[in-house]
Amino acid sequence: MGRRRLEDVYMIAKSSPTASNSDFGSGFRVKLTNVSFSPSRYSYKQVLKNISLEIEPGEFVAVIGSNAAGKSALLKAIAGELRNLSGEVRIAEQIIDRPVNQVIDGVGIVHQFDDSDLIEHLSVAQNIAIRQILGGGHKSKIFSITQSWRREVAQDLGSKAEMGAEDLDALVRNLAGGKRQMLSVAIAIHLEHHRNPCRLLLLDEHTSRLDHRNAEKVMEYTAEEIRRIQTTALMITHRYIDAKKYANRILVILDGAIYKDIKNPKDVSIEEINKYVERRTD
Amino acid sequence: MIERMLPHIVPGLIYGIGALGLALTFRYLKFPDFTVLGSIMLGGIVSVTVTNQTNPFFGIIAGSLIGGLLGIVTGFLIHRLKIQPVLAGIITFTASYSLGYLLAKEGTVALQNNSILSPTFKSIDVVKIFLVAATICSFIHLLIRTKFGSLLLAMTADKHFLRLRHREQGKVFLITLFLGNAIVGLAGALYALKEYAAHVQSHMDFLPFSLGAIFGGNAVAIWISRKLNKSNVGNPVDEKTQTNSKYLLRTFSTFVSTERDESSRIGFLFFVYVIGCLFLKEVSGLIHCNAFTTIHPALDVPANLQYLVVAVIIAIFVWWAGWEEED
Repeated sequence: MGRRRLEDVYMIAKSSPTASNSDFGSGFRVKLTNVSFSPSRYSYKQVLKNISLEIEPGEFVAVIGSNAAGKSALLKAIAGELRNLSGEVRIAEQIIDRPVNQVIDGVGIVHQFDDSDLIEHLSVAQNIAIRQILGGGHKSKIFSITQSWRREVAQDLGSKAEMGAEDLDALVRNLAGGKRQMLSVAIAIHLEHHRNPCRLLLLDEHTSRLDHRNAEKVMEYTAEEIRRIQTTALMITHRYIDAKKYANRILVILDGAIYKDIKNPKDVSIEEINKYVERRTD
Repeated sequence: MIERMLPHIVPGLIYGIGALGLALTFRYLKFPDFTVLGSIMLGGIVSVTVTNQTNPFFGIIAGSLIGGLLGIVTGFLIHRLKIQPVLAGIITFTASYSLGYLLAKEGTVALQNNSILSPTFKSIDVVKIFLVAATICSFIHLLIRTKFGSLLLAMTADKHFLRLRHREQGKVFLITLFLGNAIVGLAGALYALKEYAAHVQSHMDFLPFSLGAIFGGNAVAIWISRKLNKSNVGNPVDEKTQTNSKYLLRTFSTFVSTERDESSRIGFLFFVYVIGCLFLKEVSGLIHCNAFTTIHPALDVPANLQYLVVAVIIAIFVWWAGWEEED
């Protein structure tokens, strides 16, 4: 199946009788139907068990659960990163059967470990250039890191990730943790997509390796951008307070299945969320 | 001593050009491409054959193309048939021997036409080869700054990154192997045009020499970068107190420093590889003609130990490079 560009997807969405108007300018609709996953064909252990889920365009969903509950597997299933997956994953009506970036443009992913997102021994500018080219965010046939490109990116970084022009030449391995994560988020949301911000953002514990102050700063920035561009977002987190504060839906994952679907997080206390995660009935 | 050094300068620089081709695959695709042994040999044989029919210019182009073609075969084996890279290189280079014997029935083909290089030492030849090497270094330097260069740099990423994000891996693999082996084929062509002959059983020392130069070059580059960092020339200084020499050093450090982007330092790095190859070829050649005895009688190394000495030097280079990178 050929790779779909954003414009093509919009055309499909426009002509599709099932697509709602909220598909335009907000975010992608995500639909999982009977998704199950075992690490190998011969394994009895199921990491995901028959999950069916629909995420509306523009919805900000937080996924919580204890370790090894299947949260990351759920995100990887949506991102098309799992082999041996049964069931169907659709993003904006496109079936995702390969890494999502190879199927559709406009999806930003921030992984838990940044070796999948940034190349340590290259500079910030080089990393952004590479992601723009690989993410379909750079349309020209010939690309070179010119001064005008640098100015444009520096401006974007300054306004969106609180980084200066001087950071462009820094090697990623020399960046502080907070800056690095901010860069990952900024690339995933804005910089790797051609002028349009992303339409679906997948975040896998993107603040987990940061100290409290930096985690809060990165989370605030992420939430603000999600709200501003009204993208669909799915965020895995162990910080229940973030899930309650920023998300408009919380999924509690337990043993590879959705244990609780909380549609009104603001009305639920942290204690209650804790109970769900620990499956306590008292 | 100097007189004995001269005949090895042009062959050393030609091997240096070949090392640039190998470095392209070794540095970015991260495997030693054994195809280069076939490319340098076949590049020579094809160039002499074509030169005999036409002229050296077409001979050099044909030599480069046959090298590039071998690279594409290796790329196909790796990417389509999923054969291990090192093994794929060995398969292609082994197969290229048959092709060599097809073109050169006796295993040797002699040049009967005019050449662009002289079989004896001429300083104009050094200039010519140096210009070719500088052109290739500049070409790679510019290439890294293009869209393809960015995709090539992305090949050095972690395997998770490659699997999830790099959807152009196959294309980049093929083009890089083509370019790398075409450069090696060019080196083979130049070598044959210098020697006025090409042999199937030749250039077995090319792979260790060029790999040694790459490892040694890396170590030297890191060492120089560290020295410059220690002397603070990379840091901004007060414009008023800045002297011309410091300004020159700062400019130099932008092309050398390991704290800079790959695209800034690649030209210098590849230039060091050429010099490394020249050094190894010189050492080997000087031992072969017992030249060190003119310096001191105690340095009388038997001629047949030339490769052992070079192997020891390469081992020292590899150890030094590992040690510098770890530090």
